Amino acid sequence: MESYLETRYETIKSSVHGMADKVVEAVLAAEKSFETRDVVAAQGVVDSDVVINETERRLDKELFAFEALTAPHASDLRFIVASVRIVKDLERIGDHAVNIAEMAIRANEIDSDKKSITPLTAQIAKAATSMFTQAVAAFHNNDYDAAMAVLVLDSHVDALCIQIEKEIIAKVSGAPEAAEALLITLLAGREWERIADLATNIAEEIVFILKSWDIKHNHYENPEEFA
Amino acid sequence: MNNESAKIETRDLNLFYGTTQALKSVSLSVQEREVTALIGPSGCGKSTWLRCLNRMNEMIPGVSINGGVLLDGVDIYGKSVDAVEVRKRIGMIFQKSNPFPQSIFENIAYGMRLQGINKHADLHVIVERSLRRAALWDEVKDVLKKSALALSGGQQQRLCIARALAVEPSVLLMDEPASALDPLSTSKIEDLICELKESCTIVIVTHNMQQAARVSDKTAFFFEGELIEFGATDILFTAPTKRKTEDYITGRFG
Repeated sequence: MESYLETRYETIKSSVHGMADKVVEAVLAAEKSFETRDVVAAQGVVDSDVVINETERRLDKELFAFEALTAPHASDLRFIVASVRIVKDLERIGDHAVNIAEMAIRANEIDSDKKSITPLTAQIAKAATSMFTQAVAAFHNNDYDAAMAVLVLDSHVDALCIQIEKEIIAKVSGAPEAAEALLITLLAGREWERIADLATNIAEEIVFILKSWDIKHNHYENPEEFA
Repeated sequence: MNNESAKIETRDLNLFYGTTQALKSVSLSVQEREVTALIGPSGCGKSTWLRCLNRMNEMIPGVSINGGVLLDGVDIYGKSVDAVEVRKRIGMIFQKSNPFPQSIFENIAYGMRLQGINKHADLHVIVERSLRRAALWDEVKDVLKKSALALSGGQQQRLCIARALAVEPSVLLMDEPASALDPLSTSKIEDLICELKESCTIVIVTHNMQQAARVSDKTAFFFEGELIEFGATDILFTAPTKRKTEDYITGRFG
């Protein structure tokens, strides 16, 4: 039989995991809506953000109360401390998904035939989405190797973002009438780059929960040194 | 876990109550001017280990002890070592305060008189110094002739600490010193522990893990007579290396 403390811990853990799932849904919908100019899906992402925001507020209170009332130690303490940061990162990812969805709505108005979308745009969206979903899966499964695998992908997304910027700048000079649509594509690339960064943060927190190593700021090559 | 620079240490210490083994080859070093906390479930051996450090277990019928207990590198169970002398150097504070049914002044002066110090002026200096070190002077300086039994529980415990400090021990053993006290008195005892470690080596047994985390530099986790894990308190409470320690401090034991 689970103790009262274990039940309470499992409940809050399940709530944090539940928030991660909600944000995954938003990110996947944002990716699809931008790629296909699906305005309905995009509006769904915008509308669902209020739920994510309220979940953040509720979890802030619950995590704070859990810390104050149960004084957790060891892996429980690491989970609570990391969750405070993960919840904040999840909320920010939700905001980026909303930004992308709003860009999809505007892009549909001015570029319904998707001329501003390039293969690189699709690549960065797919890569960032994949990083985030992998990070959440690693969180669900307490999977250290999967978390570490997310970290090495970030530089690829950074490189894609730079390539997109160069590509868009070159295109704008040749087609100034498409400047707004192209600018949206560039900004969306930056949104995906931020999502990838935040997915990296989450992966780092998973390593902290599982190993107690602080590998923030690109210290993932020799993680044991940061025990 | 032995260390040449230890203030007090045990080496392969075994203790039996009759045929029941209460300590199993415990080797543990306590560093000078540090607070070392002992945690573990009831019956794990932490109090037994603590009491070995000033030879209190040997008074219990049926107890047998083997292994080494070294104070400043000297075995305190050596044939030429006097247990009373050991206890002068290693003071002890118990869970329940045990003041003598005498005045506050006499509670501290009593031990001094036994050592041949009888001049009132000398005794007064020691009493005041001890009460100040125990953070009790300001509360009792005007009522030194009052019965110690009239003090509150927290004050009585600090009086017992003052009494132990009067003989200037180099090690202070505390067996759940605040478990019967209210939060304010507990806080005073904890503050006192942090001040006393400037001059004293302190070993404390506590069931209050938050207390162990707050006051100690190092923590030892005992289970079924064995020392399971010992290390820096901030590490042991955030990233213990042993599964049993993790289970105990997260409340998932058994």
